[in-house]
Amino acid sequence: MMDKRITLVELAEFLRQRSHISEEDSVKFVNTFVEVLEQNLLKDNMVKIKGLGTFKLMNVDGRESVDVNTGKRILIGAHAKVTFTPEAVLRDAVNKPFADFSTVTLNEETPEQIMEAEDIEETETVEDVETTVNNETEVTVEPQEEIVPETAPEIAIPDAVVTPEEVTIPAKPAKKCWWIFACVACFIIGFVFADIARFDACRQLKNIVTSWKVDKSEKVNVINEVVEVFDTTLVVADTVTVAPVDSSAFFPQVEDGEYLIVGVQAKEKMRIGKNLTKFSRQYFDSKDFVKYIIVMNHIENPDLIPLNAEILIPKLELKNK
Amino acid sequence: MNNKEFITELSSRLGLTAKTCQVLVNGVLADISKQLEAGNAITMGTFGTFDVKKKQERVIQNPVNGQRMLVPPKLVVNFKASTTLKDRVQKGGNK
Repeated sequence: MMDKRITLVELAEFLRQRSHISEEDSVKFVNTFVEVLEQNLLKDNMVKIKGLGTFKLMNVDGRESVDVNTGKRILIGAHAKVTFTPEAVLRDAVNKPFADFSTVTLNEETPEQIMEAEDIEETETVEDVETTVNNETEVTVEPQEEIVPETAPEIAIPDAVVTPEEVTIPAKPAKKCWWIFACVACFIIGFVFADIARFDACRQLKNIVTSWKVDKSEKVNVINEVVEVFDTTLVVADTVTVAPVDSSAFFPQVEDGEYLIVGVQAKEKMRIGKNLTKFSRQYFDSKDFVKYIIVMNHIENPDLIPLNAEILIPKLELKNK
Repeated sequence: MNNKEFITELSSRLGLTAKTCQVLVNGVLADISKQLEAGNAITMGTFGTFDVKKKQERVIQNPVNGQRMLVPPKLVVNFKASTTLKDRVQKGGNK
């Protein structure tokens, strides 16, 4: 905020008008004022002026930093700097336009609490799905006319799992659960296909699909079997994610960076008051690692990240080790 | 150096009484304050610059109880040392 620049000459002019002294004297006074201020600041390391504030010389310790362009560590030497703390009178006078505002306590839940609540909900829904599916077995045992389209189950394996929407299950909420369930299962099946060692799981699934096709009235069993497969594949998925990944080939890389992205060390959620620079400082002690976070998360515009977006913090390793 | 010492040194250099000196200093400070309130910046020769900066409102979180608070926007006085002063600080003031 800067409307106009006032110089020492103008200050002297104001003083002349105010105090009825000669122009020469006022200029001399103002210049001496600044001179004394500067000399004594250097001599005593501190000058306090009533009505203005305190000037201090502060020593800053040397620290290590990272060159933004090269990514190399550089040393910033110890040095002194001038600080100014305005007196309360001046501070309040300057802040007059905003003086009516005061700090307000927000009543929202803290993000931690919200996240905890989400976790609990998630685990609960998983249990719900299982129980509802089990209940379903009892209900559908009774003969009931089912509107199953003849063309419903496709032959391709993944599609067959994706299309359960076309299979009508009597209770509607259960259908919804089943749909979510199918999505999760489908995702995990992706893992299974990637893993050749788990080929038998695929075969099991294939059997299920064929049996489904042969006898539609045995759908109940199919559901149960799918649940079983889901349970086993869930274990597979767990082991896959837990296993340490050695190669950096799986991750996007910063081309001219000094470090390689070799894994994920943490997950963060984008919240109000957080930004990539803060994450970079938190995990790498420097803001210059932002570029790795940006590349890791394929962020197109680092200034515009949706709230609650999940940010992966990369694990880095120095190149040419 | 406190205010009294400052006035004493200033008066001895200018050959004025401490009282007149204090009056003149108050006059200068009143002008500085007035200009800053108007949002103007003040350049004090080779010493440095005073200006007014607007601090944006922000949300802070108490690390102890997790309570979130909204801090209102503020206008603050900012002092920036000139490059010559910075150099002199490096050579003379550093211990």
